[in-house]
Amino acid sequence: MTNNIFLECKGICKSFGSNKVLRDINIQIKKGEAHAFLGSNGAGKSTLIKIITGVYSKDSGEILVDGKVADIKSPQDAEKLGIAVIHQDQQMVPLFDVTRNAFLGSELTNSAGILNLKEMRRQVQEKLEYIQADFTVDQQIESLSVGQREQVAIVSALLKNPKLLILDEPTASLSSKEISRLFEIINLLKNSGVTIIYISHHLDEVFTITDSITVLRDSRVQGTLPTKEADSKSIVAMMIGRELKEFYPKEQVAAGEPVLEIKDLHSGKLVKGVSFSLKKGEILGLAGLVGAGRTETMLAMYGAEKVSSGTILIEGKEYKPKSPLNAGRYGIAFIPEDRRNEGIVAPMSIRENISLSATKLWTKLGIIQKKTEKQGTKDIIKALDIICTGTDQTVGELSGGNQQKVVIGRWLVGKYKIFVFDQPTTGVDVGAKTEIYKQMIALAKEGCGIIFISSENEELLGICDRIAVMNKGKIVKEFEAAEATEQDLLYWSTVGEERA
Amino acid sequence: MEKRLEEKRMLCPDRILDFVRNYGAVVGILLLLIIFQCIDHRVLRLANIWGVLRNNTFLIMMAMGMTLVMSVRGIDLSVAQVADAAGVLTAFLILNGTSAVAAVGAGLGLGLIVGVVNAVLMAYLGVPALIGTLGMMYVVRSFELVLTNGAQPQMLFTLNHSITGFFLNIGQGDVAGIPNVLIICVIAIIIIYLIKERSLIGRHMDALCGNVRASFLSGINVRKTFAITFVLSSFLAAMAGLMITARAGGATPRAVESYLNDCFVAVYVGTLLSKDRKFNVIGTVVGCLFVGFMSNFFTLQGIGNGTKQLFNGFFIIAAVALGTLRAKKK
Amino acid sequence: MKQKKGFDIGNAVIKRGTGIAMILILLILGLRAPLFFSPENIMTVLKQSGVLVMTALSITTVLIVGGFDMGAGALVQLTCNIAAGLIISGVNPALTWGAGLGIGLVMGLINAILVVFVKIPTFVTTLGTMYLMTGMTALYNGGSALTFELIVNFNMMGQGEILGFPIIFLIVLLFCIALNFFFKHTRTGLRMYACGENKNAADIHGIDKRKLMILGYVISGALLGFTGVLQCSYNYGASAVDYGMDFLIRALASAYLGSTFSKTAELSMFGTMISGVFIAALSNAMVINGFSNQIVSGVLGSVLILSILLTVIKKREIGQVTIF
Repeated sequence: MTNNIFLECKGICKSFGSNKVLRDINIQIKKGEAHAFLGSNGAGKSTLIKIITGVYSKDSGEILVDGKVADIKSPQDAEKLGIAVIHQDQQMVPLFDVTRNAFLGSELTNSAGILNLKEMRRQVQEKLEYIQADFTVDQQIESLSVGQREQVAIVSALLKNPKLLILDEPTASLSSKEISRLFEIINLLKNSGVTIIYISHHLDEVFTITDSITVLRDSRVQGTLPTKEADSKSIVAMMIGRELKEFYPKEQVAAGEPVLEIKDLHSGKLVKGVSFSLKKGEILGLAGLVGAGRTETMLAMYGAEKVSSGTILIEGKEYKPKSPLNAGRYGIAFIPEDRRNEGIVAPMSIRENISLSATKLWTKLGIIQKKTEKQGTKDIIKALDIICTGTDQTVGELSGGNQQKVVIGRWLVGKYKIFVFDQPTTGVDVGAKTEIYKQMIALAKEGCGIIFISSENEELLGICDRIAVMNKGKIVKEFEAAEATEQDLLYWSTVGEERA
Repeated sequence: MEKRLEEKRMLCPDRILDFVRNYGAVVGILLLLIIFQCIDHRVLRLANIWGVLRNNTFLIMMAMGMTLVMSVRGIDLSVAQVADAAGVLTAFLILNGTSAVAAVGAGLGLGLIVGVVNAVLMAYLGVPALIGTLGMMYVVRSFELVLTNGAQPQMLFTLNHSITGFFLNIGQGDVAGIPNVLIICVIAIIIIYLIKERSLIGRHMDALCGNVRASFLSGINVRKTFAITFVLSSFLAAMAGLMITARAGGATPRAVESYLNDCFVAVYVGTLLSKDRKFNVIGTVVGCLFVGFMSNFFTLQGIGNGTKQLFNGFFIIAAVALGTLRAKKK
Repeated sequence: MKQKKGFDIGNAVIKRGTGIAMILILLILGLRAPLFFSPENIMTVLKQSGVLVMTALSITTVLIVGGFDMGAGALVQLTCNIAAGLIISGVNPALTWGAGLGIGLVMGLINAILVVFVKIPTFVTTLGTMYLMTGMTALYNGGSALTFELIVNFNMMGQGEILGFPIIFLIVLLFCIALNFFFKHTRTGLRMYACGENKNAADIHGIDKRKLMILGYVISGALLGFTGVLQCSYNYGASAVDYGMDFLIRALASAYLGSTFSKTAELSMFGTMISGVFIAALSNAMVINGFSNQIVSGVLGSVLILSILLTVIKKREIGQVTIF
């Protein structure tokens, strides 16, 4: 038995502080198979990968490679054992050609440090032919498509002659044509005996390409089964398998007139014809996977990304997004996804952060009225229960939840009609989460329309009136929240398009 | 400097360290003044202090503009050249028979034009400020050299006082014993302080420095805010140029250029006065006075330009290095 | 896909545009004053461009690793003065070349230490050292020019000719080829490019950025030191006028203009060299055309702005400076 197992994890545990991210992980990966790791965000997939590749160290347990206990302490150790990874976002040097990028960091040189370009080209050429790539060794990365760059990354990994190749969500930004090309390559590699670990959210991909599936949930392995014996329903059930346990302070609010109507909105590569409407007093959930185009749709509506076509009506009147400043005038408030980079201005105080969008109301002749500002900030701190030492504390010092409340607080001064919450509860503790939900409901009660983007379907079901599922740039399904289940949402997010 | 910090920390409680952090720079500046005074007793004589104040008003104006630009992570290498050109243009026009008021208007107008060009290049077209303003510096230089046919000095004191009176009065006159330049400068300090620390636009500038993306998403017109600083900077520089020309009674092309160094020293020394080493108006003003006294001391001692440059370089590096160390300690 | 094609055509225009524009400008100026095209004048232009191109090559080196150097011109001036002083006091020319190189190397190392270890942003560091060097120059020459009569074996480099070709130009060409080889064909050079282009990529592939940054500053410093001595040899000494900034702006303009030859705005040694020669030719042609010297600096400033504008206009971010 042992000799057809390439990699085996035995009882691996890992904690960050008091937070156990991996508990007693046991997985066997057979030689030459494609093995999928499935699980929702935070299930422990990426931590496990990082342990296998030597980025993190494990707390206990052991890893066996080819039946021998392997001591993987650094990425170099993993490389020596024949383990190569293709990361989610490939970092390339755009002005280099394919050869130079593929060999970056492990260039072939003579003893004087002069590149042996001929040999490098030959080797890359060999691999390119092997995966039947449609570009040449000396093409610049800049001129390649995303899918072709992915192939360069694969070539780069292949140059190390790996026995195990780990692909971390490789299809996130690929078109369906590029994906099928990728699958051809994966099959090719499999046939020549390379073992593959494939991480993805997309069930359809996993069913097409892999031989076995391991489902992780809540830092444990829920089970491994051959792909042939699996079906999407049972896998989805394995991925969820828990009951609603958090408290959602849901209250029924009578929905009013439509406040926002979007018709056939196109923007960039990720938004391909989104249509929906939002009523006053309604909380609309946007479900979907990372990369489904939810954030991009909202950014386009908010004027932060270019809209290529489509119409938007606000309270029945046509609205053309120009800039966030302009969107604010139309009554749109936006709480961005990436709190640290897009939400807060870390070095400024709470007062200054809150008044960023509202300062106009607190100024006279262009001078900020400190008293009014301070009082206004105090009111918001109280209303949102922001835990801090005072209005002048630096926002960078606050906890994640409180930072998020500051960002929300920014939009509570003034008259906004449409609120977009883009994943407001990521990295936020339970108490703060509840506060954020309460705030959303309070706003809905005042007659605002609320769009709530979240990747945690559970909270969408708990808090929304209606849920729209996005997949690959379109809304593929809408549910009344009361009628939907987590399975439904996950099913439409992962399988979506094809069967829609 | 580092050693001093280190020792104090070993010696003792956080309070002293905090003190050094917050007031070390002020103490250092005062200490240096006292040393100057010990070496040369003329330094702290009232008349000399008065003179230093008056002679550095234009530097304060220029450095304040630079502070505004740098506080949004821009930079304006053209300030000194704009000051230079504005002074030269005004003097040139007066010499060629334009009325003093119109000439002053033209000088300030030049500042505005350069400011707007800078603003468009950096804020709306995306040219990196370092390169864009360096280029503009040379364009402006070319303009003034062509204007004066190769750096001919534009001397005003030979003209009849009835023509130049209004203009020279700006630089040489006083109100109740307080020089006009000082009054203008103090007013400018107050206005710029209000803009930077109290106004909406100042708040937006801080936000821009902290996080451009977040500023944009919270509805700030990022480009406009960035642009305004360049316009203000050039305008202040033009005022500085007029003040120095009026005070000297004439303008020599390229004479003010070298004050770009002083400007940088003042701005960087000024950051030491801020708790979180930000560029700030009051700090810059203090920095200017520091530079002023230093130059004055060197002049009194008859120390040449070379040594001064040497010190300039040293102070810039030391000020920023001290700031970096301070940040690390935190 | 269609959109992408249009993009490429635009790029092609930009790519060829720089070269065509250069030729057109020189052609127009040359036709107005045919003297410009005379073989002697062309050789003069090549000779005049020597020091400028060397400075530009050095600054390109620093820019490639992702650094910046405000003090490039000041360093050239410093070593030029020191070389002049040494020659006047009768020091052996070979030693003088060595001294120039050594001083440049040390200054580069100081920059590197301040940037990499003290972690002072590159702009402030090099601004500070620029003033230090200007100060040292002023102290050294005491405000007067240091000049000397022709010393054959020293002035050979700057003024000599081989088969009618200025030696200085051949030297510069040699350096250009060598640097180009270093950056395109050696492991270290390749990695330096990678650092400047995409720091994250360098990190992921385990490349030590700090080491390469130090190397970049040291190489550039040594080259600038050499350039200073070259300037001294070309100029029969050192003038007292402070031309540090002038050199800097010409060098920067050459480097950025050179980068517009490439679609990806890639800094390259040959691009820099061609642009450097163009800038020298432009100045020369303008003077022959009777434009006053005073306009030339304005034109240079505009060239600098335009060349960078070509590479940034697509992105249109705001021009914040991240290096201080």
